[in-house]
Amino acid sequence: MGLKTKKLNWSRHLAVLMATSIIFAGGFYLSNTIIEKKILAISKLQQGLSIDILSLETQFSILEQAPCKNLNESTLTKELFDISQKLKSVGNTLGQDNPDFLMLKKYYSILEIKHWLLVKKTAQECKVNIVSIVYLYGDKKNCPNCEDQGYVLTTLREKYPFLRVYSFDYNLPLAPLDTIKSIYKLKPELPILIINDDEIYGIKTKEELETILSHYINLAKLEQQATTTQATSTKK
Amino acid sequence: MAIIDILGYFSIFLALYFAIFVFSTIFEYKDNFYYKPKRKFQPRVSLVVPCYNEEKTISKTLRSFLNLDYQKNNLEIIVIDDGSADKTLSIAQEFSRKDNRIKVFHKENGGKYTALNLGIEKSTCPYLGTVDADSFLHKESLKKIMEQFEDQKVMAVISSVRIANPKTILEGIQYVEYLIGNFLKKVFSFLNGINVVPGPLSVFNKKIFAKIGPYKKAYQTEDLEMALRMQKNNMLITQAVDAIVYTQGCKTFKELLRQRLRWNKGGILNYKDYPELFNIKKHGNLAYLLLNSVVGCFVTMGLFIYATYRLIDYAYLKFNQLLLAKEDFFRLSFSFPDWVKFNTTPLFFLGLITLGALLIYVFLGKKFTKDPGPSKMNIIFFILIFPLVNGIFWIATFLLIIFKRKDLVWD
Repeated sequence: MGLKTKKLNWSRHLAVLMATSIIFAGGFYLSNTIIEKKILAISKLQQGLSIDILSLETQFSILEQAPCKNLNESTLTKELFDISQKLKSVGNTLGQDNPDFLMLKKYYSILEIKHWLLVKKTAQECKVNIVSIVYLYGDKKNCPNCEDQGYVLTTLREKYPFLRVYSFDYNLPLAPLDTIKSIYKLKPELPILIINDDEIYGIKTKEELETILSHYINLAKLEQQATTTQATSTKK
Repeated sequence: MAIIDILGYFSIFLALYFAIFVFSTIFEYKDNFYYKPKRKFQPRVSLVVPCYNEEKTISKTLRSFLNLDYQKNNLEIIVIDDGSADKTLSIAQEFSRKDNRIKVFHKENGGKYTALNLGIEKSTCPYLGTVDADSFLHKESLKKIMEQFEDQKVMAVISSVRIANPKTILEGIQYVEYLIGNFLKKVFSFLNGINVVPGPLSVFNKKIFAKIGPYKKAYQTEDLEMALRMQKNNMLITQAVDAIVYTQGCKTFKELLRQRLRWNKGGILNYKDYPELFNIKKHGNLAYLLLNSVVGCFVTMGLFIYATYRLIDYAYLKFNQLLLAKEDFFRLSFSFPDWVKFNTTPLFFLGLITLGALLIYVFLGKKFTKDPGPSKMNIIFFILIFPLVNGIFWIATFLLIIFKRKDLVWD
């Protein structure tokens, strides 16, 4: 067996240090590769959504009225939601101030605005019960209540399928967003909600929002009842 | 990058560094895990069993001694009853009447180290083993240990400790922990860096007690202090990875907490008493391993604080959401927080790699210590729970030291 040495094997430690550093670099590389793929996926999704919105706008123009019969706006809404989820992931990894992330966020916000306008037009011309809510938020420092307001809106969106919520970072430097701010003469008192052209300042609870939206909620209930009755009678 | 993230990267770097260091050491010594004796070596040896209220286990322990595959006449068994209030003494005396190799001594309660020292005094053999009264020796264990003493430079040989019959999750987690511990001790043994001569079974060349003195109270971690004292005096400690001793795992969390507080507190205070062992120039590998264990306890605490912070933050978020959404809260589908769901940071991947390294420890440990193996469930529970639970133990230890609670009892 022999007397075992206590002496530190420096060359082993050097090799271990190198191997650990390589694994560390590998971890960063992997993260970077995944983020690059996600950014690419978002770009593709955004392009796809952009084409879908453009084609719907073109249909409006050709028919000079809303293409109510063939309208399937819910697919677009889902696409928008998918992008927002992927965007969250990129923001969490790269950081909220990362230029690549900000670029994607701006593009996403423009798509949201276009979607919002389209949904508003569809609701008016096709007489569909869709209510769009524009929600302007800020970071924790500027708006400590925004996280709560966001959650309340998510709850309502899941509860009432006729609701469309469009969230915008109030401080994002984006011309169309500035236009919205100036049209509605918005003051920087966050959170701000725009429901059917009415601006509302400060956090609103679920109950308060349900009161504001009560007309549409009742309408949705009536529509649902009518659909159920129709379905039952068809069955007969 | 937030400070907590920098700490995270730093901790993971150290953990990975240590893992690669261990793996590279195994690669070098992979053919030396088991000692190959040149001849049969079964000299006279005393097994000292200090007891304090061990009526439930002492019979099984003594029976395991009598079943040892070892030169019958070269075995002396010394039971020291440290003032038990139960039937420990009468049970041991009953064994003694049937087998004259068993000698029983009774003394007033004075603590485990005093019982061990009386055993050293009463021993008539050149080698002395210490065995906890709740431990059971594998038939071959003593033989495997004693083989290593054929090298005259070896002054102590430690065993592989396994948890006997793990039934509960808590015992299962301890089983995996001990498995990794046995494996790491063998790695440390290759580097002459063993820092404990565990109570369940360790055997000494009795000469050492004359040279460096008997056991000390040592904050009730006499086995740790003895190893440090031996290392300070450049005495060689090795491990017989195939010498198996079974011990009772802690049955309840409270029991485990008490044990770990005693171990951790003893560890810190004994390290404080031997600062020279941290001198890299003088003690090389041992110093690195000791430093690593100290840093390791801070890393464990950091991990616990980080995880607790995240958990409390998440619980607060959910509670707040419940207040906001009221009855609609349960309508929403369950989702993990964003930092779990959307995590693609390097820290996340490196964290997964570190957990992978922990898993490799288990599998290498199983392979090299020839352990029949813990169940998959126990491995999963160990990986998910142990790092956090260990963090609680370390934080509690520091609080205990800071607030100077009185000594923990005989164990």
